[in-house]
Parts: sequence; C-alpha cells; structure tokens
Amino acid sequence: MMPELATGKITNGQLIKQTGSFAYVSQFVDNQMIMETPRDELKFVLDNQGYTTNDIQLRVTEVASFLGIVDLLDQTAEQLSGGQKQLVNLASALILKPEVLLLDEPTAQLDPIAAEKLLQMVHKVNIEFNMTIILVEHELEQVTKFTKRLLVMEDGTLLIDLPIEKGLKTIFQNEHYRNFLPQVDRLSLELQLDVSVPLDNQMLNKAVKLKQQQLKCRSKGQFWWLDKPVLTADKISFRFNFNGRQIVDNVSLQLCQGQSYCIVGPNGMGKTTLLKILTQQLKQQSGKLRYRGKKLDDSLFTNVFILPQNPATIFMKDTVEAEINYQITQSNSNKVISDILDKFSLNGLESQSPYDLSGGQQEFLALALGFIKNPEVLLLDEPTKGLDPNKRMQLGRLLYDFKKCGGTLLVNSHDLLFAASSFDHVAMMFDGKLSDFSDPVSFFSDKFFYTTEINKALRDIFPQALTWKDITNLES
Amino acid sequence: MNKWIKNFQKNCNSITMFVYLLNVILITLLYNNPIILVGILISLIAMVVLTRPEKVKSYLKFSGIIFLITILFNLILNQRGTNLLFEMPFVRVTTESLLNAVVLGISFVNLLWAFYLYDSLIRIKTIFELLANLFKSIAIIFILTVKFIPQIIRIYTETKAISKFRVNYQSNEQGLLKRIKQAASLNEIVLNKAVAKFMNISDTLILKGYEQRHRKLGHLEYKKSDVIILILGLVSVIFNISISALHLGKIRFGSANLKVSTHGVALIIIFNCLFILLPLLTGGMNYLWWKFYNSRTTASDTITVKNYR
Repeated sequence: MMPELATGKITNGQLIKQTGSFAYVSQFVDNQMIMETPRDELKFVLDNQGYTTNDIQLRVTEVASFLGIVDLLDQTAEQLSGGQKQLVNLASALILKPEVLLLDEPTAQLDPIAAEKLLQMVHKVNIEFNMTIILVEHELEQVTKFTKRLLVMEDGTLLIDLPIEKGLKTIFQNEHYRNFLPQVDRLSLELQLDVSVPLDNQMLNKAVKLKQQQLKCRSKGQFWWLDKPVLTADKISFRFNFNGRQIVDNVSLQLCQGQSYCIVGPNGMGKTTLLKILTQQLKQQSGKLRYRGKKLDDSLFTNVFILPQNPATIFMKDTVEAEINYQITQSNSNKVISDILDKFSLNGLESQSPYDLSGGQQEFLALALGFIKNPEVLLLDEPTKGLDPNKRMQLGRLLYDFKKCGGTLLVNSHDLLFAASSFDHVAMMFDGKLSDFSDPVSFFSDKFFYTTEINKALRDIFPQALTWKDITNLES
Repeated sequence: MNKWIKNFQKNCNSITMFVYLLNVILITLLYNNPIILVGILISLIAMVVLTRPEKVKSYLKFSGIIFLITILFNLILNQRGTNLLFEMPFVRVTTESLLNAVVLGISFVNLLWAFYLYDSLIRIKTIFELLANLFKSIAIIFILTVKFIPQIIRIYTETKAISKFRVNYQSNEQGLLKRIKQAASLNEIVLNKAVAKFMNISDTLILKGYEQRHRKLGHLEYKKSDVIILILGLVSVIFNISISALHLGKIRFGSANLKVSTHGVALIIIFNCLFILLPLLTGGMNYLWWKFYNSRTTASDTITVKNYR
C-alpha cells in the first residue's frame, strides 16, 4: 500500500487505490522519531509539506489535545516511555489527516497497559473520524474487540477475509490458527457458550454464570522441592546517576536449580537492568551476587546464557549455519546442526543472514545457540516479543524441557498469559523494587488490573482460572 | 539544567540560540591573550556546569588531558625564548615557550568547552534544517550520526558483554595478536549490526515527507527576546571583529619575545564574558522580574481582591 517503503516490485496484478492519503506507524518505537522533542517532530512533518505557521500551530494543537500528549510536547525523546513514544509516532502519522492508517504491530514493544491505551486511542480515531485502520498483528488478545474485519495471511496469500465474528469462528475450526484467538473468545467457543464473538469480559462472565453448574476449574496444586540456590542476589541496588532514580532498589532473589522464574511489570521499571546486573554487564553499586554460594568469577560466563531483548545482539556470524557451527565449536557440543534446525524451526534458513530473519526466527536462533551451550542458568529478556501464539507455545515447551533437565530459568516478560502458563514462580517489578516470587495462581488471582483476561472476567466464579484451559466442561 | 538557563532556552527560538552559540565559538577563536583566555574559560565552565552538570566530571577529565597533551607537544615543538626555566635532554623550557604552550592549551580547551555548551543547548532541528537547505544528503548523514552514534556505542558495549556468554572462556586467554584479531572481528560484528539499524531511518524520513520537502527553513516565531538577543549577537560580532582587526587582545603567538599586553583587555573580558553568560543573565533577570513583580501583581489575585475590598 506504500510501495515507496518496499524494496521489491509488483510482479503481477495492479494496485488500485481510491486514495493516496496513507499514514504508517511501525513496530520500531525508537527509530521513528527524528527530532529531539515531539513538538519538533510534528513541526518537521508539517514543514516538509509546506504548511503555513498558522496551520502548523492549529494542527499541532489539535492532534496533541486529541491524543492527550500536550504535556509531552517539549520533553526529549529519552524522557519518553515506549508507550508515549508510540503515541507521538501515531500523532506524526495523524497530523497530515490521512484517510487510511496502517499499523504494523504497533504494540509489539509495549507493556499490556500501554498497549491497551494505544489501541483505545486508535479505536477513537477509527470511530470519531471514520478513518480506515489496517492493523497487522499476530497478537489478537486486545484488538478483536475494536475490529470489524479479519484477514489471515499465510505464505503471501490471503486465507481468510471475513467479518470479525465469522472470521474468529472460522479460525477456531483451523487447528493452526486456533491459538491466535483471544482467551475470552477461545473459552466461549470451546465451551460452546450461547454468545457472539468477539465478546468482552463482562459478557463472558454472564455467559459462564449461566452455565456455571456444568463447569469446573482445573485444580492447580503445585508443590516444589526447592534445591539449593544456584544464583543469589542479596540487596543489590543500581542507579545511573549520582542523585538519580534507583533503577534496581535493594533487590534480593534466589534462583534454585530446576525452577523457572518470571518477572513481569511495565516498561522502564528495571527488569532489563536487573538481568544486566545478574550477568555482570552492569556492576551493582551495593549488595552481593553469588553463584552456587561463591562470589562471582569467570565461571559465570561458562554456566550462564543470556538472551537479550534484541536477540540480534548475540549474533556474530554472517549466516544462520555459521552461527550454529560457531556455537557448537565454542561449546564443544556434539549436537548435529540438522537436529538443531529441526528443533528450532530454522530449516531452509541456513544460508540466510541472521539479521534478515524475522523477529520470531531471530528469537529462536538465539535460543538455539543457548541450548547448544547447555548452560545451568538461562536468562531471557522478553523472549515472546515478535512471536506468534504457536511459536510462543513452542517456546514454552522448549523452556519446560530445559527446566526438566535440571536447568534454571529467569525470564522478564510483559506477556501475562505466557507468565501464567509457563513458569513456577512469578514476581512483579515496579520502580526498581521486586515483589516476592509466588506461584502463578496465587500471584495473578491476587491482582486486580495486572492479570490475565480470563482471571479478570471470571475472578468471582473461578478465582484460580488464569487461561481458557483452566475451565473445563463437566459434560465433556 | 539551571532554571535560569532553561528559561533562556524556552524564551528564544532555535535560530537565536544558534546565533548565540556561533558567537561563543567565535569568541573562543579570536583571542589568544592568556588573561582573556582564562576569563573566557571560567565563563564557559560556569555555563556548562549550570547547563549539563551530570557530564561536567567527564568533560573536565577529557579537557584536562587535552590541555596537558597540548602543552607537552608545544613544549617539544616550540623551544624558543631567552628566559630559561629548565632543560632536559632534547627539551629546553623557557618562560616564553611555556607561556606559548599554556596559551595554546587554554585555546584548545576553550574551544572544546564552547562545543560542549553548543552540544547542550543546540536543537537538532535547527542544524538539520540549515543543512537540508544547503545539502540534502549531508543533512541525512548528520541525522544518522546524531541518532546512531549513541546507538553504535550501545551496540558495541552490549555485543562485547554478551559475546562472553557465547565464546569458550578458557580459549579466550590468548596472545596479543589473537586479541587484536578478536577486537577487529568485534568491530566488524558491530558494523554489521549498525548497518541494519541505519536502514530503518531512511523509511522514517520517507514517511515524514522529507523527500518532498517544500519549506527551506522550518517555521520560526520571533519574540521580543529573540530580537534583543539577535541584536546583541550582531553587536558582539561587530565588536569582536573590530577589536580583532585592531590587534587588541592578541599576543604574538609562537614568538621568542612574548609580551602580554593588558591594553583593552578589561573591556574585552567584560564584554565577552557577559555575552557568554547571557543565558544566565537574561534568565536571572526574568526570574527576578517574575519573583518580585509579576507573580505579585498578575499571577496572584491578592492585589485584585484587595482592590475590590
């Protein structure tokens, strides 16, 4: 739709557009701002189009008031959170009053609350200005309630193009795409509730209440035998400036062998910094770190593997095959390259550059490198970023296998569903403080806002239910 | 940032700021009388300390090193003069050569501090628009540099730290040649990663309509304060060029019989230091006006209420 952004050419067919007025917001939050402040950014767009002083003033005022970013206009890009930056990017797209707004995974780098705010704003644009919105996304959890039409694309062809309700029901019949359904819709379709989809939490609650006698919640009694701690942090703190905010504030944690831990929390609360301290990319300013009871030394690099937020950071070679071979050599592993390609769904990509892979493929390649090394502790920073629901489930299974073999896992994630379904212990980080780790059921059933959609919808009926799988039909 | 300087920054547009900063750079380039240089240096340091206090420590460290290196090189290269201070093998230090070295050292450091100030106060938009007006492709290179140098540094640091978790740590203990090879390969990896980052920015510029740019310079609004500062800037340029043409505030740099004249020095120091401190002075005046007059009369309703009573 915007051929100027594509490097290839149309080989067949014709692109017929009834309007040339398109705007685009990409998933790369940081690379979309050229200027220092949102005000300069918006002015830059209008200056390029040759608008008059008066028009510029009016348009900036309008768009900033509409999106609620007036207070952000004079802040520098570094001071803005991911969600705020994406709102500014949306403002830059809307300021030219486009007729069609194209959004490419706009919430991919945002935490759930920031993502919801952005989508609500997009919905407001859609209904108030009757603007056409085309959203490309593999995470449907928060978007179906705002959508009128669903299109599914596979291998360059359109599989489905239907109104949303029919579309959701159709993909429910398809085993591959069933996992893409939002949790509340999936549950209603699985339980064959007499409601139309997409439905909101309130509608699901009412429908489930009507059928409550026939339903039960899966019991989730979990008992762990906690081994000796592998990695211990004792009251560690870190800040970037002398009088700056404590990014990590007096955090203590113990990671025991064979256990999986997940830290959830909004953007910018210190999760990544904590992982960087645990892997000594940053040195803590106070507190102690111990590995198997001993002070950290070079053995940390041998026994631990870190998968950073941007998986491309760990790539060192020109092709996927060279990356895997390099890791096999470095780790003296007897693993075979073809097995690894199979296990991590990388077949056919051997000769590609790791930087040309999609976000999900990069994540799996980076994970493959970690599994070749076979470390005692695996640390992952936002591993589900860029993964579709099926890949996310595959990741969950790989991590489960790793844990079952005695590995220890610590993961940072925004993905509450992933946290609820794949880990033994969950904690929340906010303002540099880490809460106590508890099992997912106790952790999420205790939360009001920061929990899964199923828990929000059914907390008064089945307080322990976190995913659609937790509710089963007695009759079936 | 100090609130007075912030006030100045808020009350002037980007061209006014650009003119002020160009003037500061011009002042640091025109004079080489050590008394004037010291005066300018103090004013510049004061401004940078108040503008970007968090970076002052590293700036002081770096400019200190530059100062010492300049002095050492100059002492080796220029050994003229009659008043011998001390002598070492191959180096003869005289009062004149030492003074020459110190003058060059402070001149360099002054220029460095002027650029630190420039970096703290300039807006990317101004430079970008000025460049876009002259050479479109240079403007793109400028934006790539400004936006991506910090990113490249971050990629380098992260890659270096993360690579430790991939390589066999024992085999990492190698000779100098292998370490150099490793460093070269690390640089290659960082470049590969950086190129991938650069690609996105061209899409962004297309999306923002840079390709069909209509306006040569962005919209600017000139307030009274802008006009006053621009006039002061013009006066400063005329003053400094005239003084320079009269050879005041200068010494015969590099000569064997170096004489430091004080003729006209006081005037030059006062005028230029006040100009460098202009953001602080105007911000301070605005603050005092606000605190002792405006907030009591217009921003507070006490007077109005009193009148009605």
